[in-house]
Amino acid sequence: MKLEFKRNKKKMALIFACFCAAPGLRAQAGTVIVEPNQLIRDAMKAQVFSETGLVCNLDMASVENGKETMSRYEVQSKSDNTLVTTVEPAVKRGQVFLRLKDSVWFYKPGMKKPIGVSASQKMEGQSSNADVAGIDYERDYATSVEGEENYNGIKVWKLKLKAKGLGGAYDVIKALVSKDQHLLLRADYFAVSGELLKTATLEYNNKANEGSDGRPIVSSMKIVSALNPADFTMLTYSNLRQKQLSDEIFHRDSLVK
Amino acid sequence: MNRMTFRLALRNLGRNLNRNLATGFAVSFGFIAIIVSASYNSRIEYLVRQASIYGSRLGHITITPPGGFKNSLVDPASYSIDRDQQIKIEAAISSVKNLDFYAPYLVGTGLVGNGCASYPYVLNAYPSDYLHRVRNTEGYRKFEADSKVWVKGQELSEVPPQLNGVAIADGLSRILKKNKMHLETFTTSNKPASLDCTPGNTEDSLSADSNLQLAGLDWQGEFTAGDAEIVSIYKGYTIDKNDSEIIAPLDLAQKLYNTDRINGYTVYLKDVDPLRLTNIVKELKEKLSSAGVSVDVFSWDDESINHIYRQVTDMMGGWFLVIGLVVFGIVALSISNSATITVMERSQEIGMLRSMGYSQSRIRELFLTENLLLTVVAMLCGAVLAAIVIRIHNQFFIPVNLPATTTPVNFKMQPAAVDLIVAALFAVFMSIFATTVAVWSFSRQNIVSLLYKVRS
Repeated sequence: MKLEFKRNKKKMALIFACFCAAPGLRAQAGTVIVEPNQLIRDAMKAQVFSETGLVCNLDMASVENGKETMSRYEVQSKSDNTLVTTVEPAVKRGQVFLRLKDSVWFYKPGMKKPIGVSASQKMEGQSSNADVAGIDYERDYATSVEGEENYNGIKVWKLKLKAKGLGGAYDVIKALVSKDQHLLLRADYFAVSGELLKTATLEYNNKANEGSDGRPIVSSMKIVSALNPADFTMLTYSNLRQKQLSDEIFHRDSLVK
Repeated sequence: MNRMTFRLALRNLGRNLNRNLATGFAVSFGFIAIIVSASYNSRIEYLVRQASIYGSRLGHITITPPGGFKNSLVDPASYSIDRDQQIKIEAAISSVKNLDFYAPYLVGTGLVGNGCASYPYVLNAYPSDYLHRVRNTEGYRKFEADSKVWVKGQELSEVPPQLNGVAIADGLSRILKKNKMHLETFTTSNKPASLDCTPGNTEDSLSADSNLQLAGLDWQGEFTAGDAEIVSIYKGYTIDKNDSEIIAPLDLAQKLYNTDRINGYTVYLKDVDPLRLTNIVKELKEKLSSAGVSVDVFSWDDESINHIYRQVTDMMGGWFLVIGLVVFGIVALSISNSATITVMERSQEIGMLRSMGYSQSRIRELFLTENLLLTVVAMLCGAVLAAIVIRIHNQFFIPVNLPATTTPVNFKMQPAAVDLIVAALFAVFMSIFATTVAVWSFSRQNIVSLLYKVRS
């Protein structure tokens, strides 16, 4: 009887160990069990994202090789789709990046058709199309929790996001997500070679005004080049407002005026 | 050599007809083998040369910023030539002797879209009349006939600049499912066809118009895009170019990439031996240097820009050397053998001639004339036979695919005079050498022993 109990105890311990170590499902950090996909899902909700429609202005200031550039965009987002329209400079006015679920399209007034471009394509300064039009972390990346730490006095989870296939704009993203509000505070983007490409730090001083649950929304993102730290791009989101957006505007054919 | 010696040699050749015929055949077939293998070797060299100058549009001379040839595709802005330098370079090129024409070029990369999907492209941009000029050179016409490359549609210079006409390689047009050109799809509305990108429905929809979109980073690092119309489709000679190349007018490319710079010049010469451009290149380098322009100047066969030519010619040269050595060896042994046996068999005759007062040198002259006559006649027969073989062979198109090319080339035989001369000189030298050695040893022997030597 005693021997049988010992055997069962071993079995139970083994089952428990397997359960805790199951990769991709959950991770144990300290005594708290966290669900990495839920973390990243929450972090995405704090980006420029809405199921029904969100509109905002985006100001982009870049310094590259000592040269400063400024531009302004209007961002319209609904579900998986984002439409980024250039407002300034005047020579680029009307140029559009449209991110659909799994593709990004560019259109410039006068073109007969839009052209499909890569999500990792540089848009301006240090920012890529994916940075501006949004990254679907949950769909394109396999997320795992690597630990926890203090970041600027805030307790954060350290996440590692590995691209699932060709859909990810970056091969690996190492992200810091706050423990309390699940906000993405910092992201390091790595190439396939393992080389650090750039680092983004984010702030959350915006709140979506209508129908929101009052969660903070991203207000700025500073992207710094790893190759030359003097080169950076600051993305500032302002005038956020909930708006019912028609599905029609998020269609490739509707870009051609 | 006097007439008497010649007549004696001719008569003696008839006396040992069988052996002399065997020797003659060995020399003839050896000579044919040399001519044939040398002709193939020359042909390969010629084809790769024509493909480099005309097929890949390297021209006879290429001018790039220092390091630009290797790096301009990766970083075109950093390896470019500004307007001031362009003026100086063009002045220097214009003074080149034997200049046919020259053209600035610009290279670029990006994505080309058909409305449903995008693919990478490599863009080569030249003045709009450049392709027309290249295709009208005699060298290109020969290359076109040999390689079956083709072009259809309009010349870039024939269409108005506002159309943004481009020529697209056949492989890329297939990838994009764009197999029609502007003239075939033009409608008065000039509106592109609406697209159905659903898999399986795209084929007809995509080929309904000739419209393309080009996108990439301009030379200031900003994202850029623009429309283009396919006005011409051509068969690119190399696989990589055929699957990715777009040729655009320089103006269109400079507008797309937002620059007035270029990446280099390609220069075509006339009435020159393409294998002897060293002096022309040297002179041009000096002129450019004295004009204060720092650039790289390459002849088309420079290993830095055309390693394929070097590799192919070195490999073929190695093969030819091996084949040549084997054939030369056989011919040399045949001649030497024949000369030795002839002299041995005729030792009594040598003794008799010596007893009649013929000097050793006179006897050597007699035998030398015989063997030289045999060698020359055999070589002539070999040359005639080789000419017949080559003529028959060249009546047919024999398709051979060279490495990394899209179309088979006509593998004709192309004899080179220099190879013929070398082979002939070698045979003559062997004949003289073998006969001299054989006769030397016998003519020095005692007359009595020569006269009483029994035939074995």
